[in-house]
Amino acid sequence: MDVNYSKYLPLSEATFYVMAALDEPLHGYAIMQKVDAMSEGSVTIGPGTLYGAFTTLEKQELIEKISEQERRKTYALTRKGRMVLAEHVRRLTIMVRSGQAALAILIKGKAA
Amino acid sequence: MSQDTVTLYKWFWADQDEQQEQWLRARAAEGLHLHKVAHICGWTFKKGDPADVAYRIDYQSSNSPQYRDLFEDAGWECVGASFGWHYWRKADVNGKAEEIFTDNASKIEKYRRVLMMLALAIMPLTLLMLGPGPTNFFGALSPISRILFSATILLVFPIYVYGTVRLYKRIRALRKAA
Repeated sequence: MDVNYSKYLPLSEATFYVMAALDEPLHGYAIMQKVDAMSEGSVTIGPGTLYGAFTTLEKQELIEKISEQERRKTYALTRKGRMVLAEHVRRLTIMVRSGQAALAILIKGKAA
Repeated sequence: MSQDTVTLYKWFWADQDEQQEQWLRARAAEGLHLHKVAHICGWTFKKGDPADVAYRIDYQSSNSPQYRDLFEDAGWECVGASFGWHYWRKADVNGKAEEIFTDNASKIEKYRRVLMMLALAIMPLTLLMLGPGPTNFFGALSPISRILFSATILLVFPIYVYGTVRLYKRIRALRKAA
């Protein structure tokens, strides 16, 4: 499967957390709660923002509805969604490594 | 209208939703709780005990059950929905007013939906005015009606343009802040 990553990346903070929360199928409110917990309270997603994210991610075919219980739709990542998330995390990892290396040099310079 | 309700009138431009939210919050702190959106610039309140509540306004042209469920699951109550404008209310949590939009991107999207609605709303009018042949409504009017109609357009159009420009500016400011 060929994915044009530049179409989707970088993910916004909210979009990233919605996708990362979907390592299991979840409905909307559960995603909000999970993001709160995962981000250690640093990111809160309001219902307006989440509704917009659902609309966009569904249109981009990165997530899909898989079931419905009492009108609550359950979402899951599509295969393309998993690939986009993986590529985003790969790039983040490089950023973190670069940042840590730079900070290490800066701290060493200060100590000398 | 009964004694325990009161209707207040105030004009807000479409980009002044945050001012509107603050205004509604201030009324609630005085014990006036939004009961009904009476019309475009009128709100009916019920008298009660003062409370710290957040009001949040969204614009959604479609009113899907998924949309409502998502908000209600998160503890928001829909106080009024008129012409796509949704008024959501939630009591402060830990002394803090909560948000429904938690990033600038989704705020910008909301204003873009409003812009789209405004663009669609003006289209039939433009067609009526400029349309050829049988759709040319203006040409079919009597001279007096033509004057009245033109006067209305001349009055409404500047307000429309001004409101739209304000919205554009708000979107641009949000983009810069992002």
